[in-house]
Amino acid sequence: MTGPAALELTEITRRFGDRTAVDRLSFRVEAGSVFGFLGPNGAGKTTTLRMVLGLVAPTSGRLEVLGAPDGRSVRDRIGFLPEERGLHPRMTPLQAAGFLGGLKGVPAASARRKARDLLEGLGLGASLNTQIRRLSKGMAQQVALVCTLLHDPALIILDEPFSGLDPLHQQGLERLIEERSRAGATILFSTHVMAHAERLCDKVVLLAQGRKVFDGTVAEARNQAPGRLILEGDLSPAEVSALPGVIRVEAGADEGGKRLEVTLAPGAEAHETLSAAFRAGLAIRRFESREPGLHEAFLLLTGAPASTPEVAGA
Amino acid sequence: MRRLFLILRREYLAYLLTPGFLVALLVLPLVMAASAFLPTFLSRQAPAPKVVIVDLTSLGPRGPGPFVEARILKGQARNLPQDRPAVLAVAPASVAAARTPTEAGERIQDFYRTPEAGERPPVFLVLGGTAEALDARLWTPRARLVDLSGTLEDALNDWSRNARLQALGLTAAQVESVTTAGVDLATYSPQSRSGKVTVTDRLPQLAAIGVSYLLVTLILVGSGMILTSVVEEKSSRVIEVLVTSAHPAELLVGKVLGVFCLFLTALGAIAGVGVVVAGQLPAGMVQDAANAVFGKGLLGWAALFLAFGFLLYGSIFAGIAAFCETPREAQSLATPMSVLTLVPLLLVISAVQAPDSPVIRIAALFPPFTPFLMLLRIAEGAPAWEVATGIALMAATTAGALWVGVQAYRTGALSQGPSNLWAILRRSLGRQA
Repeated sequence: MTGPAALELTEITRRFGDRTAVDRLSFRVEAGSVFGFLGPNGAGKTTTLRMVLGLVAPTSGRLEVLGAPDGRSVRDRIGFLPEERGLHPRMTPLQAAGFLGGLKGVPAASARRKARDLLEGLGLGASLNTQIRRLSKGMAQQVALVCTLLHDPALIILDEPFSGLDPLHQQGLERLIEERSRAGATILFSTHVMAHAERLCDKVVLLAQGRKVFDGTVAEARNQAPGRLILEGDLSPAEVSALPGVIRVEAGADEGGKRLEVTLAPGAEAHETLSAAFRAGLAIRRFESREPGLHEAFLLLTGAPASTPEVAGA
Repeated sequence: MRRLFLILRREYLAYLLTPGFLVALLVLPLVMAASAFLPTFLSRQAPAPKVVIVDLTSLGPRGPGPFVEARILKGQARNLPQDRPAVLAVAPASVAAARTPTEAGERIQDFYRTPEAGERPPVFLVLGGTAEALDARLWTPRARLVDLSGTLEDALNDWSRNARLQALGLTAAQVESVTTAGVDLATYSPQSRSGKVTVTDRLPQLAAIGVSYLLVTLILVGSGMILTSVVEEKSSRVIEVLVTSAHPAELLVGKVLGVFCLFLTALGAIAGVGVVVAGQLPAGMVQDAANAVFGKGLLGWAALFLAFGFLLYGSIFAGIAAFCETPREAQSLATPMSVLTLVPLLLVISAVQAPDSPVIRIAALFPPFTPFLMLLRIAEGAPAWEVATGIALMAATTAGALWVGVQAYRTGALSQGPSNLWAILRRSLGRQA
């Protein structure tokens, strides 16, 4: 069952000269959901968001944003937070709220009152009248987010919102996203930090080199990646390779015995492989099942090297 | 309109509330007052120049020396930089004993080197030769751009003319009558209210020239402010939030008008000083000036051309700035545009001499020049069709410039990397709106 769409892209393509930034991209964001837009740097995430906002016209394809052909005619129902803070450095948070809220149709006094409440809730009550250029990046990012939410947008688009934030600020931001989601807003955020997507998203789209490589739930994304088993005991790689679901076995030295690292086929259940091993009477002294995460799925689907570390702070 | 007003207001306040602008607003009237009164004040403070006349002509009391002396004593010889009558000084004994101008020159040089010359040595007017071939030399302690030479030369020319007239047999009274004879030419025009043309009648032309200078100043100063503002918004990524909150046209026009309002505030301060100064003038003169400026709707026309002119140039500058990453980059791109605004100003200077010339009449119809020239044409009584055509073309071009500026602003706001003027135009005009 699918609900009404807040955002729908159909075969969207955007070319800049000879370069194709986004290639026949289609996905659908259900109203009220939290949607992760994932991909490595340069995958086409920001270009797609700009097309949604109506800042860049697609070369081909069809868009529908809150029932409109792009974000321009429904700009008062959209809240957008760019990757950088996007605030006038010499304004104070309350002045910025009055100005940006005003642009979205919120009376200045009401915008300032609302901003005061939200910022105090985020622990920024002492900085309400401090020029933004004097705030830390994390504080300014939170001010920018608050300004994005002042008009209670139906669709909230956040471009790399966790970028450069310390874990404490990341937690605050996650809490705010969850609150807005509970209030019924549709949230679309781009990130290359998988941990946030795993915790927050109902669905994710994974983009690589302008193309969609995955579209589904977080659980479905995890299933795209191979699971792993660590087996220790008097085992030979050949007998382990014969077990169901196993696609690769690598031997590693261990104290007092053999340690095998077993890679399972995507979607294979580790407990079925283990059951078969015990039924076959293999001498397993110790085992460890490692469930695939979104990070592994990301690496696999985007073709990134397995050694690619997840971004700090995740 | 709501968004446009909010952007205008933000832009206006962002500059207005800076200490620099507030200080400038207070200092500006002081600077204006100082520029009006300082030269006179300094002149009054300066000591009168001292002149020593050494007459070696042997012409006696009717020679050039006594003639120039009499002029100085009557206060008829003035020195321009100091605006004070020169005073006569006695020649040092060594100089007075000289027989020829050359010898006098050598002794004057020696005198300048002695302590006797003092801190303010005099200038020496050494006169030799005959009545028919006067040898006049002015010695000054320092070579200066403006000195007494012009004043003394005028006096010597008068002496020479008088001497020749007397040689022809004219009496002193007749000579006086000839030299003081003159005609006061009065100018009359049907456009003048009193028939006779006065300074008040020439005020519209003066105002037109003033508006042209004002517009150039506004464009040169205002463009810098617009460039800085756009580049700052781009570098801080505010522009990305703004273009998702308002139409680029609202952003661009709001920004340009915000700077324009700031300029109007500064003009208001200057006008305030003007009102104070006007209060010191005779009532009739103030009335005439007010009639000249308000009576012919000149103020309204001036406001219209200032606004159109600034919107025309301002939107182009804002579009250019959107492609720049740093103020320096923006400035280098905008400099050719700024220089181009001086071309209409040169035309204005020519137009003062010949406001009806075909070149000026045609140029006034074309938008880059209309804001600068049409006011002068209106002051000259340009026909209605000419004014209407100029305004229509200017409005259409301003709308076009605004459209191009908006496209450039929208495209440039999201672009990154080095700017290229040709690429700017190609991408802006090729972009789907």
